[in-house]
Amino acid sequence: MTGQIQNINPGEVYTYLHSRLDGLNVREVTARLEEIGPNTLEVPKGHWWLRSLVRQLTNFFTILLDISALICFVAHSIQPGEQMNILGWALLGVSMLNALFSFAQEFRAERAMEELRKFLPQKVIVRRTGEDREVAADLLVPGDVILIREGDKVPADARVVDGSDLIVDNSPLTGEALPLPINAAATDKTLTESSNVVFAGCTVLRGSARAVVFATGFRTQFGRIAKLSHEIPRIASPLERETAHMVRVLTMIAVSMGLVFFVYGVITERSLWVNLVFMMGIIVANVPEGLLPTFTLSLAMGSLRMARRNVLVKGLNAVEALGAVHVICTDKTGTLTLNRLSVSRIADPQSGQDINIEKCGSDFFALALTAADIDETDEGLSGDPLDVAIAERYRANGGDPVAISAKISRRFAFDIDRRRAGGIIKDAVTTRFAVKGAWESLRPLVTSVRDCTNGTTAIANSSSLEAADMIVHVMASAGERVIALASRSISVEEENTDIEDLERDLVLEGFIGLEDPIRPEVPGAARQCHEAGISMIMITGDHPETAEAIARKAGILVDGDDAGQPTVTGDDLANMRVRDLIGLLEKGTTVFARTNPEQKMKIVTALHQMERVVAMTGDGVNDAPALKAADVGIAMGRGGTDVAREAAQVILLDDNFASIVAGIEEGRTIFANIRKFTNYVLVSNGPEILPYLIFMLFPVPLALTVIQILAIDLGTDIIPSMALGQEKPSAGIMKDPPRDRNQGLLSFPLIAHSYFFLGLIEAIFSLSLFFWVLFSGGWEWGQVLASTDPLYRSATGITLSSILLMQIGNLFGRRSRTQSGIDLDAFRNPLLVTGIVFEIIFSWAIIYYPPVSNIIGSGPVDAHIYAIAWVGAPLIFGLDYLRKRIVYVYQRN
Amino acid sequence: MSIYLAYDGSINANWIARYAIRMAANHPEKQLHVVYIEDAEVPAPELSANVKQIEAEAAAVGVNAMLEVCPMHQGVFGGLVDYIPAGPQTFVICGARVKKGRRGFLAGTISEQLLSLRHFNVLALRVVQPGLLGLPRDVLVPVSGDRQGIRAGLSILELMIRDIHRLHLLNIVEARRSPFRLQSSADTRKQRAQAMTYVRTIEDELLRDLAIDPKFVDSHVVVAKSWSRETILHASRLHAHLIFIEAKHDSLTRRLLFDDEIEQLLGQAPCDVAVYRGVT
Repeated sequence: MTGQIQNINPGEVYTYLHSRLDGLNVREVTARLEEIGPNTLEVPKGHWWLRSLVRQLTNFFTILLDISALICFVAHSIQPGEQMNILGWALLGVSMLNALFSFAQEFRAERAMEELRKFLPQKVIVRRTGEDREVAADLLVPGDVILIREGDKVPADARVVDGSDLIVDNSPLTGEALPLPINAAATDKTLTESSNVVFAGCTVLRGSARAVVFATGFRTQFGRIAKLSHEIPRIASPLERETAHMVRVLTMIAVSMGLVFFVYGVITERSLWVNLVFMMGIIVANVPEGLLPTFTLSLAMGSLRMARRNVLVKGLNAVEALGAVHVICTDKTGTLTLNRLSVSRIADPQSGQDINIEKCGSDFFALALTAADIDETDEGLSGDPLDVAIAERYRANGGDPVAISAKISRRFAFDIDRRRAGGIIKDAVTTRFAVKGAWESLRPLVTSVRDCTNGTTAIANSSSLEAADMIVHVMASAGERVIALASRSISVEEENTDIEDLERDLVLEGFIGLEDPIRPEVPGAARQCHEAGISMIMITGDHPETAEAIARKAGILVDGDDAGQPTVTGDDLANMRVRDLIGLLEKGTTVFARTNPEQKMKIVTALHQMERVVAMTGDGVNDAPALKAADVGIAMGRGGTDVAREAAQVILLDDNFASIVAGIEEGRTIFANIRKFTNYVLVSNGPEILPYLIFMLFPVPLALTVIQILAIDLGTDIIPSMALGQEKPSAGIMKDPPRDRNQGLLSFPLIAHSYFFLGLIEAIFSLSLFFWVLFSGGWEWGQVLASTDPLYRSATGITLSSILLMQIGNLFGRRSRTQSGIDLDAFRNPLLVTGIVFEIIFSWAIIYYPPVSNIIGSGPVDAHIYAIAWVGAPLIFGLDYLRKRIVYVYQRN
Repeated sequence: MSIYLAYDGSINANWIARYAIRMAANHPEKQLHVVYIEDAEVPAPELSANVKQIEAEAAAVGVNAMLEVCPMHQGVFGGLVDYIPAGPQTFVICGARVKKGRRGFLAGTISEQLLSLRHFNVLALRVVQPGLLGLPRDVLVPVSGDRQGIRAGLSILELMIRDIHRLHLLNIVEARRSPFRLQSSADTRKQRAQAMTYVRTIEDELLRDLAIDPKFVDSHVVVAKSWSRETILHASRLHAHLIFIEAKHDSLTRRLLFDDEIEQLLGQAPCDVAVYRGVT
């Protein structure tokens, strides 16, 4: 017992797993099933959906909307003619929609699991009590002896004990669709690196084998990915946190003020009923009821704009989360590059110069294709992209790759451990063995070097090998993927010997440089990221030098950046503690080479500990956990797997890195716009609250009723808010650094500006008109007016009307933090124009149009007073502009 | 200092025997007492064959495994307590497994009684990865429990440490439970910093007491709602082979409200789980 299951001899596997060649018996299977459980990815969760639904129905946002609805119903019961119940139902509808929307989001996780389950077979051939039989795969237990054959999906992690030419595709685990030979021999590698183990979810490409199961269900390597993809909790987006904070603060202000005035009312001996109504009025005035539905609408419209820029957003919160991103962790192939691998050059093994294709090319390509595996299909050449690139280049030079393929008598598939592939080509005269792969893996096998100009070979000595090292270094530094090609002539007898015997005395034929061109939009997008203070991290399986060269070409690494920032390899990463990784990331490491997708999780963890908002791209099955763990998981729409798409929040329809940057710009714009309309909406709270304070403190009539407040919050403010939500990105949106994770939506300056500056202006102006109408109508200080009194109705009408008109001035002012806000673009925003027209019409209708004024409880005023109400708009706009100029001058100095 | 395997003849017991053998191999005495209480549940030939295999596997790593069959004394638990000497020098390895009529993997089991007894060091194991052959290389150690308890468990960990390649210390701080509140980033940061200080203290103690290379230990801190769920996720994330966790008693209210989290861990962990309680 010297190790784990992969480290022992095949003969010992049965003993150690308490099994036998004849398989387990029924009693053993039953006992193990009871012990370990079935081989499934199901999680017994009971009534999880009910708990989820209850959670969504009781979140703060939903409760707040429900309370608002309740207030409407109470208001309706007090004044039935005002049809407040309709507003109440509308609010309940919004609350239900929001809850159901969030509930539906949770179902998505189930869909990801469905996609993962497709990788596992339904049935499997298993040997039990000496008999091979087909059983349901979920009844497999550790110790079961299974038979796997070409085309089978592997049902559980199993140690191969006997097999012939087994080749598997482990891409669901490794992310690379490379054929991997599997044998039964013991190895000293770790479990995941072993060549004698088959893993659940992977596919048998060729051959057959008998294997003994040692892990099932969630305990398999695939099961762990499934578990992570399913159960990693989604991180609350920055906006979710900020909205929750804002709602909490506003509600606390509203409820506190309501309670204070309730107590004050009791002390001053007002009736309980009046006190309750006014407490409710203060709460209604303080809570911006329309703000939260406007958030949802704004995000929904933002997601539509993003879709037009090839960024498909699955959850509304991801719309804004993209804008908050500090770091983009991106794959290389297909995202930064075009994923069109092509041969860029063939280098001579001694001089490093391009090989004379006319003279030596035919022989060189024939050998390269001998170590390849390609097929001709209706859609063209198929096979490993590298092999196809070589074949296409050969074809472009006038050769026929299919004819070469037909002459291959034996193939040795790419071995991930040996990092090379081989083959034997035979014609009438010669038989040759060719091998191609990473230079580091071929170097020890090379004994001579070809000189193609005169067709001779020279003994490989240390200087010629060092020259070859330098050629590889130069090519890799230029961003080329370098493949070495070697060969030797063999005798007929050697044709059937083991690969180990064939791989000796090799002649180095040359180096193939392959390149996957950078997408043309990428350098520009990377420049934008640098300007916007967004870090980029490239995670690739390439050689470090190649990776660095590509990162430099893409603009991720810029000149002077590389000092003190070594590229981190997958091996380094595997042995690194998270705190050491944080140290490297803080120093600015941006390239991770020779990594596997699972290591993305470690990078996300480190970045989260650094308090960064992380966007992570991915396309494979094993990318799913990292996509789920990141703040914004981005899957590839074209090249990605369904599992990755289901786990991600964002899908890139064109797989293009530049689209991520476009999405970030859109996300930042949306947050800036949300700030604008939050500021806009909170301004009207001032003139809504002040009348209640004055009413409680002085013997005056109430200047604004509950229905009039709701008419602003849920009526006239909605379209202008939505208009601000549609504003175009400002010129400097991608010049500012990402906002601080702790920067709240509701800051003290924003509250002060909304309530104590603009809100106060609106309140003073509208209350001035209120008292003007009252005094000019004969009202005397302390006189009580009935709510049906025409004078009272006219006075509240002009108060409301003036607030609406002033909101137009406020609207323009909110368009820009530093500029006036009046420009041509304002009139190109159709919602803005509609909002202004609506406010104007409504400000007139509540005074002069009886069907509206009867509902609102308002009445007509003299035309000259209504004309003076119009002064409010330029007044608030002008004073705010003056403030902006003062701030600008102050900041400049 | 002796190592006892409370052996019941089940397949889980055969699998946990590997852990016992490994621990005995790392112990200077290289002795393993396989204690079987005669309850007639396992047929004699099967018991004999299983014990022979344990002896052979033990011999392969230089351990002398001895079967000691003892009579019941008011049940299996009484038999074990009667036979195994109490004290901090005694290590008892037992199973955590489902069996008909029991409430859970530990709840209501003899292993739970042994853990509660505090007579000797106890390690209750649930093996779901028999392919590890009792040789976990990456071990996840949740350290959110009682510091004294964790210290007391070091002597058990010491018997396994030689085979371990990476030790992950995980401190899970439970986020403040509030139905209407998302915890702010500032609060989370504060909790995380405090938790990191705590886990680093434990890390320092561990490095000092077990004399291991600092590169070998990594510390993690998570602010989460459920520690059992987060431990399970971290075990998957870190490719842990074994979760080495202190036995803790949840209050009845907590068990009723949030289920027994140790049971959840034992049932849903992607790897083997070892629940320990050390005595000093």
